[in-house]
Amino acid sequence: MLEYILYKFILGFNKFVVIYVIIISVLNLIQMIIAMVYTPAYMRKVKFSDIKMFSESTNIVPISILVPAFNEEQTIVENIKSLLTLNYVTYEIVVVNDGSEDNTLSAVIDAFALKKVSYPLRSKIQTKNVHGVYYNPEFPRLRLVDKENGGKSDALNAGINISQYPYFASIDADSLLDSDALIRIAMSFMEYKYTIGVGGLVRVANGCKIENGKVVNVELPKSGLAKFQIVEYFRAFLVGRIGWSSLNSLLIISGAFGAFKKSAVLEVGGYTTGSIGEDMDLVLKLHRYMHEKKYKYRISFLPDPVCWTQAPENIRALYSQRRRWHIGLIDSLHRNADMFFRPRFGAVGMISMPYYFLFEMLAPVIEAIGLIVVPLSYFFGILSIEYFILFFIATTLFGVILSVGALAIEEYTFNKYVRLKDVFTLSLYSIIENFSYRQMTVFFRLFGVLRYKKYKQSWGTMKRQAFTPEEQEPVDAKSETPV
Amino acid sequence: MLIKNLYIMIGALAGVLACTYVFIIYTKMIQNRRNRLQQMHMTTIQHDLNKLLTIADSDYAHYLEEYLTAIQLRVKNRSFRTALETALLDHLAEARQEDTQRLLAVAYALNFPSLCMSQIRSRSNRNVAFGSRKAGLFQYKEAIPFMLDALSIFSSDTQFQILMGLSRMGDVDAMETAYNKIGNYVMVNERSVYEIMEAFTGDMRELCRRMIHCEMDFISALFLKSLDRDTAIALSEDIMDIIKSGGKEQRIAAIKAIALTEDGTYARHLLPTLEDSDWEVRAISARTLGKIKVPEVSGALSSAIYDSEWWVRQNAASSLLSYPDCEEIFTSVMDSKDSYAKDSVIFALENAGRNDMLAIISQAPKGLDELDYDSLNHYKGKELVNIV
Repeated sequence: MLEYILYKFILGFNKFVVIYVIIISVLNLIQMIIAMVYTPAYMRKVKFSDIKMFSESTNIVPISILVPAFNEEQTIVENIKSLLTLNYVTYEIVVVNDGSEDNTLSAVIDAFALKKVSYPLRSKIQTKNVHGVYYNPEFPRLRLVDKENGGKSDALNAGINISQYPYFASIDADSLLDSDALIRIAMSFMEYKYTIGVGGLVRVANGCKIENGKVVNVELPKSGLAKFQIVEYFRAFLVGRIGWSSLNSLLIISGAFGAFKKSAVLEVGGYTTGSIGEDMDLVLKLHRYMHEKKYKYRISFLPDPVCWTQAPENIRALYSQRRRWHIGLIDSLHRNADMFFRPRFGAVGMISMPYYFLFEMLAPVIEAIGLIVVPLSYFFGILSIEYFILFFIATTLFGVILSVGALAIEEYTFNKYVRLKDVFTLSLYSIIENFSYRQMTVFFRLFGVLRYKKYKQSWGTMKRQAFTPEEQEPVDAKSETPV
Repeated sequence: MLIKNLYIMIGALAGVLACTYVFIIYTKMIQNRRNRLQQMHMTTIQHDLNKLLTIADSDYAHYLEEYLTAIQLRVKNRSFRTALETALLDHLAEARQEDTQRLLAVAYALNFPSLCMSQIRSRSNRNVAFGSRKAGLFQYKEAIPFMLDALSIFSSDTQFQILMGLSRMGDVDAMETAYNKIGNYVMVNERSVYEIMEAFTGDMRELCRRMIHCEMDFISALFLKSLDRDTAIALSEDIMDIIKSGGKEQRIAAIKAIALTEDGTYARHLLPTLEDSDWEVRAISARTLGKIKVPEVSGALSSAIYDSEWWVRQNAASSLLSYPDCEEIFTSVMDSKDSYAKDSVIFALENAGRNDMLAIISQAPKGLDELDYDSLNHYKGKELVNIV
């Protein structure tokens, strides 16, 4: 009896996988086509837009840049220095020290000679206690907020409370913005007044030559793991995000670099504290709010404002990151589960949320079950080896085409990797990732599913590296971020 | 059958992959070649254009003729032509007026402006936006009717580029038609509209005069807000008309514009606005009367201290500080039983650092905490904001 049930399950699962693969392939293909049409057209538009005019204009929307920092002593000062040289007229930088256990606070205070000042706090969003605000009139754009540890969401909310401008951009403390990144993001708000959120492209800084907080030469990193992530980021951003943005159903604006209209964020109560996927959760809340109120709005992704970030170069850090991302995904979808398949939430509820649930959240589970089902199928004599091999080749080829396609979009539009050798290397890694890296990340994500309850409020650790080699110091392993 | 289909699919996918690789290599080679050519062209073009812009007036005509003859053949090469057009557009985007004419002479001699017509008449919104931008920078007025037609395209980027293009051409009639045409479908951010206004090269005063009377409150208010002092003085009569009969946003913007004139003649005309039905209008009016002072209005301002809205009370109290009889007025407020009015006076004096006057008026015979129910009824049902 059990054998019969198992047999039926295996048959059914095999059919399910075929349908599953066909659907996800079709959807990815549609996204790829959208990206191939949209991205070159967008870049042509940007080439002829008035960026220079706006970058010198006092009419441009003023933006507050929020930089939440927890144990970022390695990179925070360089990050702030690079932010102070952005090509933009009216902006401020609010660094929020979220109860760091290292010397983040003193590093920033010493580097910029900041002094504690009396500063009026309007707590539009409740946060943990703020110990003080630091300022130096010689750096009028910069303010440092020292607060009790409360997590990234809490730090961002404190930054929103302190910020004085109607728009804000959140960036990670280990990220570097291109000089024109802010102006390119701001133009999206200028050109369409219903824009409430914009995400920018996140690129991998590993291996690049960085001087004075600017990426001056784009090169490939030595680490194979980082190379895999470059390919992965291309696929995720240049294909995935553009596709969803075109439907106004983008679910994620990367926490590494995203900008929002402050009034809209305040309406939804700011970032949700205790949420590990605060970036996705905020976007979902915004979609929910705007649909419920029937307001016209747009949340979009732009491929040209660029933020450079460090990708993990060791397996442990990558595991921690991917587990966290997947837990964040589960958490955000769970919090907003009532939006699923509800027509009142438009394409968000009807298309993108089900997609993320089935093809992102459940994907590692299905693949893991597949690893068990395949040998069982062989055992039951229902597995055609030829069919299995051909199916595997077909799906792998399709995956490679997606990655290489994203690389093609990058080459045609941005052309950051100038050397042909680098392009070949990346294309080679686009193939190899399907036989090693992808399976590894699937397992990491599977651990995210299995350990969801245990780690749903934990950020894990990533050993930061300074942007320039001479600043690197050995850093002890840190305990997991308390929340 | 299934196996056969899989073989076919694999073959197709392999073919697509191979094509993608070929595309990447081809693109890389083309990009590199294009960049090399572009760099080569740009170096010579920039050098020539810089010389054109800096040469003395006496030699300019001769140099221009020589230059056009020299590039006659080269301009037939597509990459050179594109580079030259791009360079001209970049220069025009930030050129001074005297340089603009020289650059336009080159552009018109090479027939660049007329080429943007096909883009403006294109079905692609993106091309319409490109073409409008070029037409604006090249000051190609023949494109105006087509650009106005294209305003019916429901795209914020296209709308922005068309308005910016028209603004750069400096045609008042065209701008007025454009704004009337977009009506309530202004998709661009307010700050973009300011940017468009600042790019206007024609008779700004005449444009403002027409647009402040525009039927759309939003556009009218924007133009009112953008007025500088000289223009506000020149258009003061028009502004006063709007204060009397405009929509709420228009009236607020008009009052702010009148404040720029710093002309006490208008102070009396603002008195009715202190009793406007919209509290924002009353608040702005109270603030404005602090900037354009006429002694006779202090009585009306003192009444505004008892307004039901915090902002009106606050602005009235702050404005009265600059009037000679403010001490007398404040003392009488402190004599009253209206604690909200008293709070406003105290707050205004504290903010202004007038502790001396605060000390004097605080010696009023009646205490600060007394309230009478008439005052309470006056504020009943209104959202009261207290100073924290």
